[in-house]
Amino acid sequence: MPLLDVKELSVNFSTKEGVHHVLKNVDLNINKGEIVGLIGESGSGKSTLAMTVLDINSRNREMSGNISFMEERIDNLKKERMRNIRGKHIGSVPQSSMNALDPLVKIRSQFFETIKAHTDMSRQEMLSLTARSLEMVGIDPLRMNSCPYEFSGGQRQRIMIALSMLLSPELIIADEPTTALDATVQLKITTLLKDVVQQKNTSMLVISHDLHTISRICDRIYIMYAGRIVETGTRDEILNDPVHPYTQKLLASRLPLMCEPVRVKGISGTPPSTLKKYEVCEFMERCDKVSDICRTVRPPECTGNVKVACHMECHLE
Amino acid sequence: MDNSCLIKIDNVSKVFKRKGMFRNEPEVKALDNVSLTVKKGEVLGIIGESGSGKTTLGKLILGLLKPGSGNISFADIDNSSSQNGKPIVQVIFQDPYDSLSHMMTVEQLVAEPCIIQNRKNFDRNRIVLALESVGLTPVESFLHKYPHTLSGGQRQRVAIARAMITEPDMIIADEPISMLDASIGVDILNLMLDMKERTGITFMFITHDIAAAAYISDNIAVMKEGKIVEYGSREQIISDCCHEYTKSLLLSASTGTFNNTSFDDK
Repeated sequence: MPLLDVKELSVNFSTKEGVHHVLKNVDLNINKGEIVGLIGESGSGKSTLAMTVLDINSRNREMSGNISFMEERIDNLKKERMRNIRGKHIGSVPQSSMNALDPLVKIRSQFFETIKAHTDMSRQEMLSLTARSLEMVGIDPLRMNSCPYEFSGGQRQRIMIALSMLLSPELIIADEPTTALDATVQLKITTLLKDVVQQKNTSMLVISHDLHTISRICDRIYIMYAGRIVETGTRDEILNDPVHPYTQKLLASRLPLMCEPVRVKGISGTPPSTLKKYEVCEFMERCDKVSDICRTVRPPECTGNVKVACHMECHLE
Repeated sequence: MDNSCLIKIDNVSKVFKRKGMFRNEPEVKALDNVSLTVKKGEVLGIIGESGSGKTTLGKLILGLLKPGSGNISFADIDNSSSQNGKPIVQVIFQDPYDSLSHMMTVEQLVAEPCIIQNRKNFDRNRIVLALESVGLTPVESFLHKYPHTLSGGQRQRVAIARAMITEPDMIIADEPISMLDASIGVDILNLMLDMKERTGITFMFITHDIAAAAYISDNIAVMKEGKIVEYGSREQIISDCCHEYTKSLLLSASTGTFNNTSFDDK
């Protein structure tokens, strides 16, 4: 039984402009001790998936499907119970987490706030727990009395990771943990995430648009496009043998580090609108390998044993 | 100054004095005796980590900041007789979500530099051509859109059209792709390369991503702590760099390649 099991999850948001279909029939599972990557471009719904699991986007939301966590349905839990799970059992490193810390509140107080919300520790215990978790991410525990604005972006990111790990949750959801950081700092943060997961024996869902940066720490990868999982597999399968045209294009848009001038092609066209309901493959408008069947029949859903949501895959077999 | 050179930066230093409310805080030396020449028609990449002074250098060239000491001179241009106000330098900012006014349509945004330059007269065709050249087609459907309805890549294209429309000699692009998805960033870089080939414009490309700099630049300058620690052609920097910092940048870029699986074992 996987730790987190998302089944047939569909999420719509009703707004003034109409109904946004953000997630469509998403199947995703995370086993214990695993690092799973969720990759997709802006607007593909990856953050919505994370927020739906944490239940922090319930406004105007309609959802269907199952989310189970530690063999418990969590998709329609009461607010109070969900609040217990968040922070204690599911830690979250939010997007642009550099700005997620209150800049004028001491690091120590922000850590204590989380501890107090979930446990009854004595002050001494809280201090030692805070010191230990800061040490783990390579921040001098003596600096716990500083305010976030005194730290650099990379340091704040590490503090945020320490904060999400504080109560040793079973699952950590890290939303774009390396975006907007320098290349050298990115390397440090990804290595840190991997170390932390190994030390604490937790699982992690890493969300990113940058397949290359994140893939080096993932065990398995899900590729998301327009609210659907289009391909899934182990890291080696995705990186060495991608099947879906979107995954292939993502991999090809990597900038090579070479002396000779070469041209790399990006993915042309624009991402599909979430307002429209597609009867056929969402990627068709930007795909070079469109065949007749693509125009008429929906490709298979990426659920169960199906690993690629593309007709191409069926033809190969 | 010889003809091939567009901008000459000579021993420029810039110190920011921070005035605390109660105490004097230490000075920050953003640039420390930097000398650099920008040649006509090249793409010059400036790489460095946050706080290395690369954006300060861009702002000094744009005239948004004044150098503390040293000189920045432009080739064969005396400011007094500059013909019809043609600008020398334009800029593309990092964050396309903040650099375009939310209250203006794409047409107004692109027309704004023309209006400033020509005192209210502008040619509508030029706007259409500029938008076409950055790949925002069909132009008619974009003219009356507001920036919030565009994607990040499209917004950055509008920002490029704004910079290009007054036909500057040089464009300073300050981290133009760091806010964009990887696949869209490549498109923006290709657009810049196309523009350089078509119009011979000079680019100064400021970035922290050595792979992006290597992709687009002819020459690369590596900055660290306000100094230029290494300068050379792309080939020199990538295959034959000397400075430790450049090596560490290259290493962190190349361990990202997926062929290298040894990373796990470390």
